[in-house]
Amino acid sequence: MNEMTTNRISVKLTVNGTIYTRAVEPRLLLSDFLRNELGLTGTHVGCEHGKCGACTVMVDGRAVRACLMFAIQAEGASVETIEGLAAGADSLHPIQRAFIDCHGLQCGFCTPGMINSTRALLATNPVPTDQEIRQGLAGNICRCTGYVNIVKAVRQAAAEMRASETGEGA
Amino acid sequence: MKPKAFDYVRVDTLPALFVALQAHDDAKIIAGGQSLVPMMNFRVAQPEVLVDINGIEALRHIQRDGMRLRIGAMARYQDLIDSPQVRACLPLLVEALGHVGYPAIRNRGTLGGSVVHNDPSAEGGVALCCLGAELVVASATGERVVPIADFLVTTYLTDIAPHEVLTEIRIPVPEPRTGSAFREVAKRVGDFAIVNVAALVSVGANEEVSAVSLALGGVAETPVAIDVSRALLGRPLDATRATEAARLVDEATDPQDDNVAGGAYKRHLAGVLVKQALTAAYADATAMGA
Repeated sequence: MNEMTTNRISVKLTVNGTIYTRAVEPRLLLSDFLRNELGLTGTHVGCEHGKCGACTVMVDGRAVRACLMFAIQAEGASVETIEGLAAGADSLHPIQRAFIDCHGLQCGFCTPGMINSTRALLATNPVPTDQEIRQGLAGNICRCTGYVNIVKAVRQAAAEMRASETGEGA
Repeated sequence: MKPKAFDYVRVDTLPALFVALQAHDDAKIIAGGQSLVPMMNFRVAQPEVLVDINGIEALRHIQRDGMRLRIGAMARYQDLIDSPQVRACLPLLVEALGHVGYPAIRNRGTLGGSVVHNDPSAEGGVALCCLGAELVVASATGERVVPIADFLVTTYLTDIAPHEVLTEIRIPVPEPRTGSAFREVAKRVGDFAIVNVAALVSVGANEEVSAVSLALGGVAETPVAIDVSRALLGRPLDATRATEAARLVDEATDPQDDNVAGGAYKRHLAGVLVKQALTAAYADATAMGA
């Protein structure tokens, strides 16, 4: 069977606050678009069928699988990847800092997805129980750490984010 | 790139959708894409044309209409779970959909897409069978209303033609003093269920069961409703009655081996989960007071 040659379609979207316009094949997954068109390789590609969670990004404020969405479907959307979370190594987000402090990563492959799922969880549930943390991260597979330190990291991040919010409000 | 190349059509209205479906015999509709895109990534599905209905606002509604709830085919799982109306009148649906995949899957996946996909243990399909839902199927020439049991033909096959689209799911709101419960066993949280069970139990003035509806996933080609009323009606539900209902389910089903579990194990799970779900639904109903 020959591969069809398909016309490219223009897509315009915002990624980490920057507007991009690109002409892409309809079959280009959002995950491949972020990595190969924009060079944002922090979005990792694992299973490519929605099981592993490594490609989890935020689309219009919600965590989604970038491997289960075509780039052209993100027309007009606002996408946030791991690269948009902190300005640099000196100003890590509390979630990133907590993963380091608690040894919540070893090889780091799952970490961008874990951190984006954590962002989504804490945005709707700032005081999660351990059970809720585990459910919030149930769609993210880690093959190194055994999850205990990841749960610990989310707990620490939640506490720090609550503390900083209270501090700002005072 | 993982999927085979395809042409892409985005539509924002139903009339535009019907034009697109008539123009392309080999079109496939994409809703949330959480089952279709994995199949395309594996190249199990190779549509020539993908028609994207994510932009059709008219398919997003979640709305109470008298004694039924009307759910647009593009309503996403998380929107249903978060909806105050759904939480108030269909707690069974909320409980069932909480078992679908993971947060990121529920953020994008739709109940409508899942029903049309028709996985044998889909939580949405099991809940809709238990609730006695009807499906509105539309085409350029009109629409028809199909009961869920007729719509789910067999695994991955539903009563919908290539030029048609599911537009709405209509669910009767249960009577007062109707309790509900959903139980499932999967290998991990979020995995496809091995067996799942949805139960609705209504009680009368003397705590007797006045109506019961039960549906199971994973034990047949599609989610199925099974009539256990003769085991339960007219008396309070106790362990003996629940066991008798489980026996009726066992008689009515013949679960098959698959690559996740054997038929005998599924049969065992069905018995355990039916008893748990009926008991919990009855307790839920009696707790509601007269």
